[in-house]
Amino acid sequence: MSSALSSAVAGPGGAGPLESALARLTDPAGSDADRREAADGIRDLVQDMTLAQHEITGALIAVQDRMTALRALTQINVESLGEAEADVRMLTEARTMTDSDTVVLVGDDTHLYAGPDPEAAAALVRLVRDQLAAPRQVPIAVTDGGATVVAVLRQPDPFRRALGFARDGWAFTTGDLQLVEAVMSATDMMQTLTRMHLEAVERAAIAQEHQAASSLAQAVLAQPLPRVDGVELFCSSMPASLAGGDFHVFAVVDGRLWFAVGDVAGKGLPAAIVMSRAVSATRVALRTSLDPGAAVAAVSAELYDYLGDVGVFVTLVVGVLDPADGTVRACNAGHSPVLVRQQGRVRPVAADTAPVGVLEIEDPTVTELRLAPGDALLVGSDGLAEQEDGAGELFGYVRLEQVLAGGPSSAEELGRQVLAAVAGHADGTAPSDDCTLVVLTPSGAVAR
Amino acid sequence: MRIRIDTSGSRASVAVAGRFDAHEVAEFRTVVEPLVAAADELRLDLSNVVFIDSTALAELVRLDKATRAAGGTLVLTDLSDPVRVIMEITALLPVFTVEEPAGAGADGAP
Repeated sequence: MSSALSSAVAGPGGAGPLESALARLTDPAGSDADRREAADGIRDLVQDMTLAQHEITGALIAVQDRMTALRALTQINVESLGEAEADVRMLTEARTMTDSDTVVLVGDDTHLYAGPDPEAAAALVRLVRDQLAAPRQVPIAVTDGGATVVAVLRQPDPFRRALGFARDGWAFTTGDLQLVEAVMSATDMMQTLTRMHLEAVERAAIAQEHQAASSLAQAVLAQPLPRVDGVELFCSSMPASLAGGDFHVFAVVDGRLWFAVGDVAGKGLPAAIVMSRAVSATRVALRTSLDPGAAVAAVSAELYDYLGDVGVFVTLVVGVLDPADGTVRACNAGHSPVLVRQQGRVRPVAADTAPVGVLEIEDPTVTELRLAPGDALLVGSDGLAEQEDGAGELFGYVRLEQVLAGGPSSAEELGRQVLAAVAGHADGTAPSDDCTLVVLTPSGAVAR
Repeated sequence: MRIRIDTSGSRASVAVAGRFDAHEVAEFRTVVEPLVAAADELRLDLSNVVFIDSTALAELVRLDKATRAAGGTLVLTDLSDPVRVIMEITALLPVFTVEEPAGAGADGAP
């Protein structure tokens, strides 16, 4: 409170000077000179009171300004402003709030300042750097007879080590230091938010690249299914995440349908990257090999060293179906499930060799079988049999064989029925692995 | 998955129990990798593995190659049925050195 006002209202000795002056003014026994003197006294008092009132109003406005600045300081939004602009805003608000002439933010090799005088700012930066280099650091150091304050930040980063505040020839008070403390806390908070924000941005960028890479990898599978007279073909492939290690390749060479289904061990983008390379190798092998065994050997020759380096293997089955008589020659490199239904009986087509990338495959055996009307060849990936239900029970090979045994003769219908059975078993449980299903059935007479 | 390790001299025994799949492979590698260089014979007990997936199988193949490259041997000392079945399906069984426990008569095993 203003000293002028308090002495006017309640002066020393009980009755204030105003009351005693009024008493002298209205005293019937008093002289004219007494009254004039009393009136002058009252005039002075009223003037003092007016001054005091202005002083209080000024102080209130200043407090209000500081409150507004404090609120503005805590509301600086790093996300919408960007880092550098947020720092400048913070300095401007800090300058208003602490009633400083110059405020600086000092980093390792950088500084920002708010204030009218660049030279004063440079001097303050030097002072802050001296303080940062001092052997013993205090969080808030007052120097220069109280006219400068250096505040070392609690959450420093290379661009934000300390704040400096300077007044032009007048000292900071204890109350001002509390404001400096408030500015420090707000700056620390802003830095934490900035860091969190930048991390989130980085994560989002990585996620976006991951998504782009996944769709690129998955795009190698996008090719229309070939149409071959006498064969009905069903194919469905669903990666568990954006991309996966399952793949399928088809080719028609001299009226025969070549097919390959493979599974790169592992999941997600890493598996998909290997997968896209396996697809290229398989595509070339299907078009250049005389026999499925030779095709598997060619894929192995192309990929063996690479797969050894990355530490994964690829299960692969390659087959060729001649629609003229329904014969299938297939070479199975550790792939499952490969199931054949002949005359209503279902049996697995055993592996001819270990998966590609485990051993060098040179001259694998080949399995030969014949598909008559009503028969079917089913090639899936392990995601099909390993689909779990809510209780963690696998769909399993037994159920798969049952669906195949009792299923329709059309590849399309059979394929949909198998997928429906797997989905029914899952009952909403997310697939844990990529899931591929290829079904081949002979479709009646062949005109050739 | 639980992993137990016993080392005595140049022989290290590792027992894996529970699920051995894509989620567990990183931990398995962290634990077992140091043994590849340290042990001449790495013995892996898989008798209590209830489920194994292709990622874990690939890890076993990788481990087999790594021990060979380091001049050692990987021996699978006992296979649970789920492991044996998937190794038969994928034709991986002949790839590994498998040592049947004395007197054990797993189906089809001599």
